[in-house]
Amino acid sequence: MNTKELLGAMQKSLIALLILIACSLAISFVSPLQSASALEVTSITAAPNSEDGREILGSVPTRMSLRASADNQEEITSITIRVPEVALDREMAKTTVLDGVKRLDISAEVVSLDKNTLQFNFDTPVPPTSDLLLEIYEVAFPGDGGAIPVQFSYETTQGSKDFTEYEKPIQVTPVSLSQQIASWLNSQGWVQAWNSNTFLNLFLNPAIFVTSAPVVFKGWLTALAIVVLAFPAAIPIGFLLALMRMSKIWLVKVLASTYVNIIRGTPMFLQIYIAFFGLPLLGLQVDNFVLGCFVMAFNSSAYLCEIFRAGIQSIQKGQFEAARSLGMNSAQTMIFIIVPQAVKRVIPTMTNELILLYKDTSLLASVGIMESVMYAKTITAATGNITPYIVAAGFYLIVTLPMSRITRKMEESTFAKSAKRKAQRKKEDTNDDSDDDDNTTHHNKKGSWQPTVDHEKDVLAIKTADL
Amino acid sequence: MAIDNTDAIIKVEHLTKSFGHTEVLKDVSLEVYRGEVVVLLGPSGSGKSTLLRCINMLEVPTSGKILFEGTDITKKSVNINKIREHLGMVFQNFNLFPHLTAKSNVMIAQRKVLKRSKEEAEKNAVKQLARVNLANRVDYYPSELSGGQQQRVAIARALAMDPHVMLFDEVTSALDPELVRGILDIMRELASEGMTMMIVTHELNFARDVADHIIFMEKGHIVERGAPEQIFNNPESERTKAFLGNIY
Ligand SMILES: Nc1ncnc2c1ncn2[C@@H]1O[C@H](COP(=O)(O)OP(=O)(O)OP(=O)(O)O)[C@@H](O)[C@H]1O
Ligand SMILES: [Mg+2]
Repeated sequence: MNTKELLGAMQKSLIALLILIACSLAISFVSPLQSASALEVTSITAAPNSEDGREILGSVPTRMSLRASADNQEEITSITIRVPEVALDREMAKTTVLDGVKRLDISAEVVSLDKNTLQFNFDTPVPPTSDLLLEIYEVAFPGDGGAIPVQFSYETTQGSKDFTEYEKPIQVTPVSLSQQIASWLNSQGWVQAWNSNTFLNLFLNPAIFVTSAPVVFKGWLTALAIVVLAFPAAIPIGFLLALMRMSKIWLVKVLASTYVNIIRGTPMFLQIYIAFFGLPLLGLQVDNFVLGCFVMAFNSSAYLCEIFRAGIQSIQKGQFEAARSLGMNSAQTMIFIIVPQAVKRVIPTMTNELILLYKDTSLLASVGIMESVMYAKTITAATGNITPYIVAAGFYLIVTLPMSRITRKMEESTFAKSAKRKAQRKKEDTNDDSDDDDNTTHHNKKGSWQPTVDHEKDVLAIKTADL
Repeated sequence: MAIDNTDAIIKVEHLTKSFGHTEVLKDVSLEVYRGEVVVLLGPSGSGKSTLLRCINMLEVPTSGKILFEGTDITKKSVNINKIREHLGMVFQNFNLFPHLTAKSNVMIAQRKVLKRSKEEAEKNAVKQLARVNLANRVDYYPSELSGGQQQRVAIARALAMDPHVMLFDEVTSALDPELVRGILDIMRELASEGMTMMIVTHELNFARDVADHIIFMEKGHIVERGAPEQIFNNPESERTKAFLGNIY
């Protein structure tokens, strides 16, 4: 063989080789396409896990299932499921193969390819025309929800198919942070141990605690808004009532006293019912929240009236007389002399009334105003758990505890302030070489006057008694 | 200071006052002339305070007239607040406004009643407090002052209104004995300055010193009246004699 012949033979065989490679490549490319119908995925779904059973909530574990039927020519050897960003646990996978209604004895070894991917390797290739059900339990979709795409691929005895995305992503409803925390809590061992105690579970279920807190919080804001609107409105009404009750005009006095006595003498619950059911019957449609504020304000004004009246009447008669003797009219006397003194005295009782009013907003739940107790009630009705009420109680305490503390502090600080001033004055007095005939030694009889035992006068009284 | 006997600043005519069924003042008539110091004496319960309080209408008389500078102030049509501007009153129990400093106590009615400017009221307050020797206590609260100091603030408060008449109702009775003199000295000074005053007191020496005219009351009646020398040295009524004799 000469060189030329040799080269020619090599050329031929090279071409033949190239064709062969090309052919095999072509076959390998074409074959998956040919087996595109080897596995028909009929659905990829997740079980609804919301309370009403209609939605798939994120973060809350649920069951995901893939239904498919094998094509009538090929046998399926493995199926891979991948859900990006969702952890899949191979231990939680379950395989069911049916031929019609008959269950075939085929199981699968599930391999975790990565966190998000599970491969089901069937111990026996799935025969054509059978139905497949692959289930994965305890799948928690992302808490912020959205359309979650699911990808799958499979292998047949003839070849394999690449990942495809299923046409219908799973629609996941976003859940609040609190629900995410709650479901995380429920998966914790200590929480499960805690909940195994009936009492703790019923009254202080951690997950329900967390989920009800933001809901009850909304009600807390409502209650707060009612008080913030009603109480300042009640103050002037109460003050006016107090002035009316102290009026010299009989009719004015009687009107105010009657009002105050009726309000104070009947349960607030009843007043709420009368207002909320009476007004609509009169054809008056008032917004519930607004009406709630009104009832609270009018109720509180009666109590404030008595507080103010007591406060004003606790001011000595001499204060009125001194002011009037200087030519002040009764309004000036009230505004500049009596009220400033009375305010200091009534603030603690007023704060008390504020606390009572705030607590009484819970009564508005009875007419459907969505305040803390009402929200708590709704959750309790759904869960059969008392925890939401405990949460509501906590929210009340958030307001009432600091408030009573502040009142106490206020009382203490005025006391401390005057004590401090007094001490300071004493120091000044001792340093003070004034020609004052009556300082230092006689440092005051505690500020306010006392009914003095007047010796001279008493002696006089005795002496003149038998005249 | 001369007393103008033609100018009765206060004229009480047939005044009676009852509390319920008890008649506390019975047909009381008197005059106070401009520049005069009238001292009311009498046993406890004789109606001295009630009389004084009727004069600025803190008590409403049951019947009779009270003329202040010619106006019958018992009439409903009279604006009593206007009248009271000119009638300073000092109480046994001081009745200072505890929420205000000494200066503010003296300022408040000047500001609200006389509508004086803050500067003017303040200037006058400081002046009046200095007049009662309290220049160094202007910013003290009543609770930080002794009884005597409080009573002096009360006097300054009344004086700041430029009253035409000052009414003093046992202003030293609530004070410890050693604090009494300071107050009496201030009243003496006021008398010497020609202030018209009606004083209820049990300080007989002081009464004798300071009074131009003494009225002795008992059981709602005026029993005797006259110049201090006459009342003290030569009392007509047995009651007065007994009263003064017992005290002296
Ligand atoms: N507001 C009142 N209501 C009923 N009775 C009163 C009232 N004020 C005074 N009285 C009575 O009137 C009488 C005279 O009282 P008043 O205070 O005028 O006496 P007084 O001469 O000032 O006595 P004292 O020297 O004790 O101050 C007393 O019997 C007293 O009990
Ligand atoms: Mg008296």
